[in-house]
Amino acid sequence: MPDVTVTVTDSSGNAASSVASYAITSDGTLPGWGAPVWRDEFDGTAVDRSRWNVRSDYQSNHGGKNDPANVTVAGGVLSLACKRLATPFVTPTGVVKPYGTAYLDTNGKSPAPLARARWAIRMRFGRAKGSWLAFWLRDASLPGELDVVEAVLDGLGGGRLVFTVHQDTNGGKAKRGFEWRPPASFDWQSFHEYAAEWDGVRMSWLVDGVVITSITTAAYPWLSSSFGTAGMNMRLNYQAGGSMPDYYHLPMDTSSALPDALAVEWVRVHARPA
Amino acid sequence: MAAPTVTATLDRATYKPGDTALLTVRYGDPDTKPLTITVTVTDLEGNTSAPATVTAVIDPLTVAVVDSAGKAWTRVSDSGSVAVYSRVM
Repeated sequence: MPDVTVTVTDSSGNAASSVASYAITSDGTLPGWGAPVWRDEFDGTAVDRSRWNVRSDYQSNHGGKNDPANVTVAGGVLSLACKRLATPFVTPTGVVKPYGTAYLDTNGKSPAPLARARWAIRMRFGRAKGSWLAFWLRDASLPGELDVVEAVLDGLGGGRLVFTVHQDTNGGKAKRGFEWRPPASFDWQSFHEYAAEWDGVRMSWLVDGVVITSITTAAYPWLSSSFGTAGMNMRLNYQAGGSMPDYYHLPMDTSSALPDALAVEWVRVHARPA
Repeated sequence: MAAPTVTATLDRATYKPGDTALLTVRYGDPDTKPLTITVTVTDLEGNTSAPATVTAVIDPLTVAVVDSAGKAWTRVSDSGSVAVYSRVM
């Protein structure tokens, strides 16, 4: 439950404070979708391990070592932190990971199989140059990967926002990506809602409830063989540099302002009624 | 020097996303007083100028608002004893 602290200070440094708590509540009901079938509002004091796995592994495509200590819940917000490690982690094959990162997934804990669904997250990016923040899904039985949103930050208060669907999460096959340039009024350091909708024929990406781009099986027939009815596993991670930041010439390096954090207010899944 | 006092009150306990929340801050300090100095000048002939006044605040107060969720609150008004802030949830 977030709170707001007001402190009054006089010219001698004498101070008094008062705290007021509040809750942001929503049943998450959406027109045409109904109430969420799965949700996490992060209103506890720790990650709900019945919903999420908190990983301590590492990936080959970025410079972080995932550490559950970088995942916290407080004040109604899930925080995924990235830190510069005092002693870099070295993989068994000798690859140096200079950063501590965070990675959650719902493998084995995902909502019941959904043929038509909407996955949404409300989150606020950090600022560190080269951070690669992602909310993405893998089909539970077929090879498809749906990236609800990937953000690469430039360290200057902006960055790149990319929405992608992959025929095969292991690469080497078709994909369709869309880089969205937000309007100047878009505040990168505010909370925004990012969502993807899949109805079996059309896949759409939305920001703050507005459709940014859509594709259909008519133009991308492989969608039907990459996404099925077995459900999707959600993934949420703070990645440190790596392939996508490198693509945009925004590596994480000594100029990146760390520690940094991705803040998440909620994750919700809706199912389209039959 | 006396310590200042403050109470912070929200207009509601719960909000939906998109709602505007209002935070009312009532604050004061017994030492904080407005001061008005009025000056007139009189010459040897007894002519007196029109009074000139200046105002100041003894021991002024500063108000800081910090949201644990990292959100910014915008000051809507401040009378010197009651300040109102808002933010969109």
